[in-house]
Amino acid sequence: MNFDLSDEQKMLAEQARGLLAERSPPARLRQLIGEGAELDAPLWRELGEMGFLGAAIAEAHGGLGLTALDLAVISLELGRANACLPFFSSVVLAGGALSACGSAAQQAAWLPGIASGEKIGTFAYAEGPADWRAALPATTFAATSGNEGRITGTKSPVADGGVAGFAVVLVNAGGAQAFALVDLDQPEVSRTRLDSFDQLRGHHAISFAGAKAELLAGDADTLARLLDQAAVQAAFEAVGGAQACLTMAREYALDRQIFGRSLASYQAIKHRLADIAVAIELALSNAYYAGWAAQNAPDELPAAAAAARLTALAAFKNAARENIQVHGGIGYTFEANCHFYYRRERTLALSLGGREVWADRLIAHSA
Amino acid sequence: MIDTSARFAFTAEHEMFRDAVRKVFEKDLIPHLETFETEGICSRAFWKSCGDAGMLCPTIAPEYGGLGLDFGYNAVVAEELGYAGSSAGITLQSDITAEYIASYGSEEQKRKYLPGMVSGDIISAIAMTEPSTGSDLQGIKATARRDGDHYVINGSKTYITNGQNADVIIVVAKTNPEAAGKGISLILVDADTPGFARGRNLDKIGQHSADTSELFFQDVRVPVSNCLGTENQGFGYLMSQLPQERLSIAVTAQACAQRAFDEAVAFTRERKAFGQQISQCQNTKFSLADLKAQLQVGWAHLDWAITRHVKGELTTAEASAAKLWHTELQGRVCDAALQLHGGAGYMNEYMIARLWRDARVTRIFGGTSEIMKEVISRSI
Repeated sequence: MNFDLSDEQKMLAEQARGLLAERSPPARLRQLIGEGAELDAPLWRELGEMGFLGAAIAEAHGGLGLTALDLAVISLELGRANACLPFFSSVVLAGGALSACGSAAQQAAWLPGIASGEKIGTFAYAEGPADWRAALPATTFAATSGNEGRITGTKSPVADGGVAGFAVVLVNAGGAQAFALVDLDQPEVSRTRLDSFDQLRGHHAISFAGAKAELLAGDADTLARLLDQAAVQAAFEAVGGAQACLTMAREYALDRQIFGRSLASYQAIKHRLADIAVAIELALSNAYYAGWAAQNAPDELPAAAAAARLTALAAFKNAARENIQVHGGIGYTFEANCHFYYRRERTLALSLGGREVWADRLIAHSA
Repeated sequence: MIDTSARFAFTAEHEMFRDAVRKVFEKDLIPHLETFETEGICSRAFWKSCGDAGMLCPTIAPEYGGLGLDFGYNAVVAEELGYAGSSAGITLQSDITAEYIASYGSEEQKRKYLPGMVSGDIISAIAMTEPSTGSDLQGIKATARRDGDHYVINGSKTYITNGQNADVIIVVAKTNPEAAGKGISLILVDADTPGFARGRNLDKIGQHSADTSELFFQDVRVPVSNCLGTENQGFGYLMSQLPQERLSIAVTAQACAQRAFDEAVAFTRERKAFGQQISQCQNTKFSLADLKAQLQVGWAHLDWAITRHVKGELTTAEASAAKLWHTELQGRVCDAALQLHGGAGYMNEYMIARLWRDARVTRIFGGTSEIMKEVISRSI
């Protein structure tokens, strides 16, 4: 079995990498942070025009109808660039939920907008410090007619909650876990921006006071599948981030002179970089397998996705920390670029359940 | 040699004792290390020379033949034995079995066993572990059924240190099989009692000079006066002796780690690669620096623990933390020191190979690292 990328996927990766390197360099990220922006709007539009946002959306809804692995190629490049874009929230999670369990009408109403970038969605699941996986959500859905109803409760933190126009909200609908589709531009919805550690991914608390909503046809199983698929994309994003850290650390070490020679010539640095590279390689192999399983072997996906997520986040964590260490004092400053990745690594590591949640899932689904 | 110049747990008297211990080991242990390893057991002659030198059971009172010293002297012997790279079972006698008899034994039992244990004429063992019971002592199956003024002991024990050499065994058995912890007693069994049999000397990964055995008891009759302390109180005795047993393991572990480090330093100074001594490679320097820092912390902690224990203040949780930390340290240091030896480290002719394989069990015996964490967590 060949898990390597196809020529088309390699071209897609190159295209995405080139565009992001040009449009979203560190200087642009600093500019966005300075403006308090939560979205690089021109770049988002451009990605929509080039078809990146609709890569995994069906052609009938304005997408390219490509596979999970194609989407993963883009996730990896976005991770490398650490771009300020709601790709994971809108395309992977909201788009994924709609594609998986939206009605024909719901899909027709929202997917084309996601594909073009005109509509931004997010996935609202957490409710403060409570374990959102353990119990039914406190946010409730009360049916009015058919699949329509009103929701009440507060979700926090919600990634990209400030720029999203709609949300897929995890709710308690008559004693069962369900997804509610909610237009966020209505008076019954209020949002408060939270002070997010990751300055390039805004987080909000969103309160629903009887906001109009409609149910998607999803249940707890759908949620688990959606999270697995999202975990695969997050794993690729993490691998991209880790690769960027390794490149940064290597370039800095080659450039920096210390005690009369290149920093990179010291064993302490060479061994450190080798350890990072090994972890990335292992993570990438797991991610490829999970990307393949997402498309071709649904039974293998839970274990594959968990393994991919765990190894990718471990690689990213190590790479992000060691990158700062290799840079020395400068690595601890805002002027160096190390912190972008350190912050993003924390965001990814804590989204959709921490390490122990995925370790449990891996064990539960291992033969 | 262990550098004791910055230690604070010991007095000048302890250091004089240490010199004497080193001399005895130099003469009667080091030349025979390989023989003991090959034969899987230490000679009784070695035990005897330790006894003659006053190195066995130093805390035992003079009226029973001992020197009446503090645990610091036990620690000195444990350190020197570990540093010598020997896994001889003398510390088990000095730190554990003698303490049981001295603490809980009747006058008659003390007079019968302690002088011989001090002189090295009597070798002792304690039999807790069974084929199906490790850490969960309350679940032991061996029974001591009362029959008139005798106990009839049945059951089997395994992984028993000094099992081949032992003249007397403290057997942990159920005197009331219905009660879990409250039905356990400690019973002294002389090795010549009918019905007692030793199994083979077990083949272990390391610690080859320690004879470790299965022991079998089939209708072994001993007088009820062989019960150590009060009947059915054995579990409490075991629990109260744990701090010293665990500290003793921690002491040995730290000394073994120091020896592994010293071996790595010597080897990397000697060995050349890529045109320089490997001790000059940055990776070697950093690895050794890391180990040296850990060892420094370890000695400071160990002195703190020994000092507390001598004052009778060391808690079970503290002793468990010491056992956990020092044995894990030993594992890390031995592994890193072996790596610095390269291929030579995998050759049995090098001391580091033995230190490495001997280290593996210390995270298991006397309570595994995981059990240590359980115990520590109960104090939180």
